[in-house]
Amino acid sequence: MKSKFLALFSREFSGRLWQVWVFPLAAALFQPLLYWLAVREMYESARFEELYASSAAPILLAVLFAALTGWMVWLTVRDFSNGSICTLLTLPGSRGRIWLSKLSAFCAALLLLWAGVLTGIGLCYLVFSGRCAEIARVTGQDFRLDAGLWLGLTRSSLFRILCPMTLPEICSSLLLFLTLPLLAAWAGWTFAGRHFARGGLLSIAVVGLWVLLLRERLLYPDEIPLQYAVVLLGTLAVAAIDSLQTVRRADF
Amino acid sequence: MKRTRIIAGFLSIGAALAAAAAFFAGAWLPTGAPGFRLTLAEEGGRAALAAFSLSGRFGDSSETIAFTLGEAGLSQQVRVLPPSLGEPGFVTMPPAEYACVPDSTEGAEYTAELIDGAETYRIRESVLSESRLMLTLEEWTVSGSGAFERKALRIDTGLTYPGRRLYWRETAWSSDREPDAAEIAEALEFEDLSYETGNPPSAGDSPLRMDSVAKIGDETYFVPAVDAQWEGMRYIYRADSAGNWADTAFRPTEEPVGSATPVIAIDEGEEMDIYGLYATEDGALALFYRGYRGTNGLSCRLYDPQTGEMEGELRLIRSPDDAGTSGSFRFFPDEGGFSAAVWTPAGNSVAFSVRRGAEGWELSHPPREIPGMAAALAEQDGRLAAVCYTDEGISFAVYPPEGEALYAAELAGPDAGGADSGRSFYDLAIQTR
Repeated sequence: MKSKFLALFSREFSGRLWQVWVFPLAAALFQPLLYWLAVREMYESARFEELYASSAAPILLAVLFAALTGWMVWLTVRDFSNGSICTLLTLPGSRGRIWLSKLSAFCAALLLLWAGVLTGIGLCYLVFSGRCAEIARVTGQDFRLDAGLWLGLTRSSLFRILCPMTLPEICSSLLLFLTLPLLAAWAGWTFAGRHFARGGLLSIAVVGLWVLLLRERLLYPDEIPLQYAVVLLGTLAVAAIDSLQTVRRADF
Repeated sequence: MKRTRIIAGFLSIGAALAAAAAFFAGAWLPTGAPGFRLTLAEEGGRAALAAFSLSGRFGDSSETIAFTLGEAGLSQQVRVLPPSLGEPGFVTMPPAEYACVPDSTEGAEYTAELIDGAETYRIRESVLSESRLMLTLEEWTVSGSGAFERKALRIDTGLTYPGRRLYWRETAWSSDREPDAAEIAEALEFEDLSYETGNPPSAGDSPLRMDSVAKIGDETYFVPAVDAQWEGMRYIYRADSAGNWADTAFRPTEEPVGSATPVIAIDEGEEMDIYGLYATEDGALALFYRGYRGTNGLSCRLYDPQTGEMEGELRLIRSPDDAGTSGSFRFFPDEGGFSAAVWTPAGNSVAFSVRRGAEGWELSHPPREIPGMAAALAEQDGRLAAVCYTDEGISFAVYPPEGEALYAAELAGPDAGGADSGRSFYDLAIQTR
């Protein structure tokens, strides 16, 4: 017997699975394409992570993450404005579970995108290795600067966000990632309930803090900006509590 | 809802997790293009390594080879770690800083010297003062977030220097005779004053010894450096308390911060040129100095900081040529004593080991010359194991009390010596069994 939460979760996630697949597929396939466009003109030794940073792949990542967040917001607004969830919410039982199942489905979508991004980076490295081998074959010299993918990952601040390796980095990256579905689920919900002032202010605060945290991680990869992380976590907790309160009252 | 759709949903999450895990695992695996490896050259007599093994790390800021060299040969493991600033709780002490604080103006000194053989004199007025020697010790502790907590101690050592120049002014004076003091004072009346900077005392060929700080447990001991002009009683101090660095930094330099107690009276200083104060592992203080009572070799005194008594005095190197400057002196404490080495101007090191025996402190083998600059030393049953930086890389050798080395090996990495490679050996240590 499947639990109610799992049933709700599979309704949310599997119901939109084929739409979600677009994002990880794009990340896995277009990243190597953009990377190949960048290394096509490479005739000198260069590091993998430097070439990646100079290619259009990071921009693609930004677009994909922004699009997924926007899509999640839109999905929440649509569902809770005039959707089948309204019927669900009129039924007796815990309404918070409905919101949590939506949030979990969004997290799962983000997990898919993250896996797609990592696969794409791995394929980029294959492109890089192939290009290096080709240069070595043509020139008769192997002047590669890299010493494996792992070294490239440790040297780039963007990769250290995407592939965290120490516990503080993992926690900070999780916070950065999980803010997106939480913000989407919460903001969509409040906007559907027409609480524009409350939703708008808190959204702006969360987005601002998130950008600050991301900026610190990108600029200073060796230091985890604890102060921003704590404030962001607190703001997110307020948003989550607010969402659950809204669900309990069901005043949308 | 269709069952297949639900299964596909959960399968896709599983696939995503598997893809992420495969990415991390794939990145860890060797790619067939290893960064760099250490090589072992010119090795002989490995049986002598029964008592010693060398371990250390080699690499740059992002990739590290951890290696061990023992009886089984050279083993190495490439590890790529995200660089970190330092373990929390790590303590480091920058070199001590000295400052001479003027006490009182003693008077002015007027000099005139003929320049270029022409009828032109350089006239100069120097204002002299007696100065007290202030000493600042700092201790930096890495806190959890990687920031440093800085503690500073500034004490008035009680040592004074008479007649140090405080400030001066000079100009050129054209005349067929040497001007007297009154004329110089009048001529310089409107000249700008130049303040003497770089106050720490130094006297020509006798540079200051900055590394004379030793830590035993939580206690810090130090001996203030003086130059050759200074005469009087000298002490080893124990640091009792220190203030926050920020408190120290914005106070006037003549104001002490924290406190220190003189615990050991060394001697009347007769050009006792102190190399440094070091602590052995069993809590004795070793004071190294040169030039005492007519000798110019390197000597060592051992003190018990609890009682303040001298436990032994050893003449280590007799020839003055063998003893370089204090910056080239290396000290390696171990169980029951210590080993030390002096880097000579010729590019070699003179190494010796001192043990606490039945009749007090004694040399466990005669001082011997080893090539290069010592990076680690250890002694066991009269045998000396030494790691040295040489032009080729790192040399590791085991010497008997007399004669040729029993074991010798050169360790070299590709581009190990290249200045732009940024790779170096570090954390080198010799283990004894």
